[in-house]
Amino acid sequence: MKTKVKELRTAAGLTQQQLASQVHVSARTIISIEKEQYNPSLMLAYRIAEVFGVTVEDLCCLRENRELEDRRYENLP
Amino acid sequence: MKIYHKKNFAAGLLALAAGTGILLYSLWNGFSLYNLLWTGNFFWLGCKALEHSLSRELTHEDLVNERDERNRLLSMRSKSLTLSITQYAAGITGIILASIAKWVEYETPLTYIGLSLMLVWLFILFVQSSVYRYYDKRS
Repeated sequence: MKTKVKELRTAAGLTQQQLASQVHVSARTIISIEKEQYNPSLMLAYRIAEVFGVTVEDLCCLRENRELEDRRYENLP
Repeated sequence: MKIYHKKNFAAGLLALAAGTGILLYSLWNGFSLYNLLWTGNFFWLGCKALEHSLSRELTHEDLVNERDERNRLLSMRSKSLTLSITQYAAGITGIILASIAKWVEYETPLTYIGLSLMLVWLFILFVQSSVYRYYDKRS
């Protein structure tokens, strides 16, 4: 899933390890989220959103991701 | 001295006890490279686990890694895949061995190994469906 974690983290001047420590996960989890290999849980998304002062909807690009998912469902046989 | 991670502390003590056991066995029956390697391994693992359990920073790091949601998901996925591979490997090997036994038309140890593997496959299938039903009811 596409997120704005990398964009917001870089803008805030935080390292992956610093963000990981603030939200109580490993740095590897932050790396995976930024690489779009792992979808954070609702609670983790909320914690990260709180760190950057944005909403979960904005952080996780929910509108954009929903449209992508809708298109995938429309293409189902 | 405070123990921050009791599970790691117990694991460390257990590893040290195992290392000491092998060392005593070696003293009694003579040393071999194999025993020395095991002793060294157990002592190293034991010391590492004790060091982690007695340090606040290292325990914090361990607990964060233990509770990390991605690590938990990876652990579940790897266990699930391991189970599937074991299940199908047991089933397929069982069928092959049983077929060989049928083909040669006499009972060999392979017959019993094949039948046992097929039983393992059935057992895993049964446990899996029971556990699925259990969680299906609970959630």
